[in-house]
Formats: sequence, C-alpha cells, structure tokens
Amino acid sequence: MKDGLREINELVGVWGSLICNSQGEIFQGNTPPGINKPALENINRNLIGMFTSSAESMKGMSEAVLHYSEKAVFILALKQVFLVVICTPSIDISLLRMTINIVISRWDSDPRIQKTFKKAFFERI
Amino acid sequence: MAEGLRGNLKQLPLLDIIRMLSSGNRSGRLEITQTGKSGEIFLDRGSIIHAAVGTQIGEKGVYTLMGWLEGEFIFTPEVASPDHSIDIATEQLLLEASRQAEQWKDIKEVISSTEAVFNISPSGSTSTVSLKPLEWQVLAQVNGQRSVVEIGEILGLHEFEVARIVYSLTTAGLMQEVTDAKTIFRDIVDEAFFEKLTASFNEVMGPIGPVIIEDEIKLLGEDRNAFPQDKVSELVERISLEITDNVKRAQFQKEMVSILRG
Repeated sequence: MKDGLREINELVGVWGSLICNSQGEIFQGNTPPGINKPALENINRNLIGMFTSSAESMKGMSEAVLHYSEKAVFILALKQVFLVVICTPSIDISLLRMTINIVISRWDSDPRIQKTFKKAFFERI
Repeated sequence: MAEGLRGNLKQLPLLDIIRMLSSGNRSGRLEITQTGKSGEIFLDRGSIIHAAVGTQIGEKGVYTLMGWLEGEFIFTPEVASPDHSIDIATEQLLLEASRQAEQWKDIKEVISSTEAVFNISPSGSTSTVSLKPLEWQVLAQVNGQRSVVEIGEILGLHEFEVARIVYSLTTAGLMQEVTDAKTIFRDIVDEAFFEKLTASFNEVMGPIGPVIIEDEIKLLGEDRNAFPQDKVSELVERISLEITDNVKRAQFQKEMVSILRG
C-alpha cells in the first residue's frame, strides 16, 4: 500500500496522499513531515462527510475533486475506504486519475491489502 | 471510476446545464475547468446565488464562464455556497447569458478563441473611425503577444467585453488575428508517440483501435498532426475508457503513463 501511495506522490503536483475510513482516520498516509495528524483527520472527516452526502444524492458517484485557492483534493471511494489525494489545482487530472487507477488495480488483486481495507471498515462501521 | 453529473462543455453547453439544474430546483456546486483554470457556480434550489472565476465574482463570473466553450464540468449536489454574490433573478441572468451566448457565436467567427492574439492591422481602416474610451484602452494593449484573456486581466474587464471590442475593432479593419503567435509556442506531440499509442491500443482493441483514437482526437477539437502536449494525457485517458476490461485498461494506462511521465 505504501508503494502505491508513493507512486501517486511521485506525480508532479501531488502534495500528499492517504487512505482513511469514513471517520477520517488515516491508516496509511504519505504526507510531508510535520503535519498535524489529528487536524488532518478532522479535515478528512469533513471532506468524507461532504463527499458521502453528495454521493448519496448522485448514484454512481465515486470520485470528486474539490478545488480550493491553493490546493485541490481528489477523493475516491474504494469499496471500504477512501483514497484522498491533496494536490495543486493545476495538476494534470487525467494523469492523476490514470495513475490512481493503475495503483488501485494492483491493490484489487492483492488479498493482503483487501483484507486490511475490510479490517479498517469493520472496525469502524 | 463512475461519477455523478460530469461532462464536457463541447457536448453540453454551460447554458443548457444551468437551465437543466435550475428547472430541477437543484442545489450545489457546478465546477467548470479548462486547462490551468477553473471557476464555480453555486445554486440554491434552482437559483444561481454565487459565481467565481479568478477575480470575476457574481454576475461577471457567470458571464465569463458562459464564454467557455471548451472544458469539463462537474456538478456536486448539496454543497453550500461560501458566499452570496448574485441577487438578480436566475431567469434574468440566464436571459442575459443567452443574449451574450448569441453574440459569442458572431464573435467566434472572427476570434478563434479567447487565447487568440491580435495586432494592429498595417492597412488600417478604409474610413474614418471614432473610438470609445474602452475601445481605445483595448487597442492600446494589443501588441501581437497578449491574448484576449490577458488584455481582460490587465484592464479588469471580463473576456466577453474584451472579445466584443476586439470583434468590432477587427471587423472595422483596425486589428487582425496573429494566427501563429501561440501555436508556434505550443508543444506538439510527435508522431512516434502516436505510433506507440496506436500499437498499445490495437493490442487490446484490435483493428477498431485507430478509428477510436481518431474519433477522440476530433472530439477534443484537435488534429493528430498538431496535437498539443497539454492535452495528451486527457486523450490517453479518454481512449483508455473504451477498454471495458479493468485489468487490460490498467495495463494499457500503465504503459502509456510510463511514457507520459518520461
């Protein structure tokens, strides 16, 4: 999982990426050092809340890109968890989406990672 | 990676999207993106209450975004607006936007895009010309290098106003478009890339591959012989979405992303 996040972070414009549950709790992250984890988890919780409420009213929605003045946040709902990528608003979004898809495709075929995702989901459901 | 309401402005113009959302009494955030820039319009139960694009806020923001004929849009429902910058009725706003959209059609016949660059025509006008102060200000900024958008930013005007003035000055014979000013600086994708793209895609899709590639290039409004570098990943992604098998799609994307990332 770490390798996948590292691969995403290698893309120009990506500031950090993480996997969290619906409560915003990070169980795997690749963000610059010195980040206040509780603050980031709090932001995650709000973002995921916003995302899931939008997703409920728009069936089939599984990703969203939120633009802020200095950063953009890409949120992708995986089966049990969420992938959050923080990047510059001018990022090549197609390249980011393809890179994420490559990583997820690898995760999908890795039973160990799937087990971790399920564990994270059931522990917090 | 399926999504909700999302699409391309070439297929569904912004005016139609807003009309649809407004008639459905929808609330949320409509985000419009073009290469390197983005804007947003917020609706509350079908009424436009806020818009922002760069320094253009409120009605000006809406009109500026209406001038974007290319780009992508994403509507996220139930996102609350951070501000309330528009008080006029949405019907009135859409009427004005519709009027401007009609004018844009005429303007686009003279101005290829808002990124177009103009210079002062050496032949000039054949008759006496009187200029309004704003027209003079625009003319003074024309130097064969600044685009319509850039002139708008300098003068604090929105694209539509500048484009309208450029249109009238051009039809009066005072200005002309510098056709090669930007394109010569555009990084163009070389043929070797297209050969690799076609070979990889054909492996998955078979003989229909080249047809799909050509179709997607056309849908992006581009030409294979002068395909811009900054649209290449979008092209690859669009093509890859034609591959229904997830594993094969990821494999194709992996090959292409590795080329794109050098």
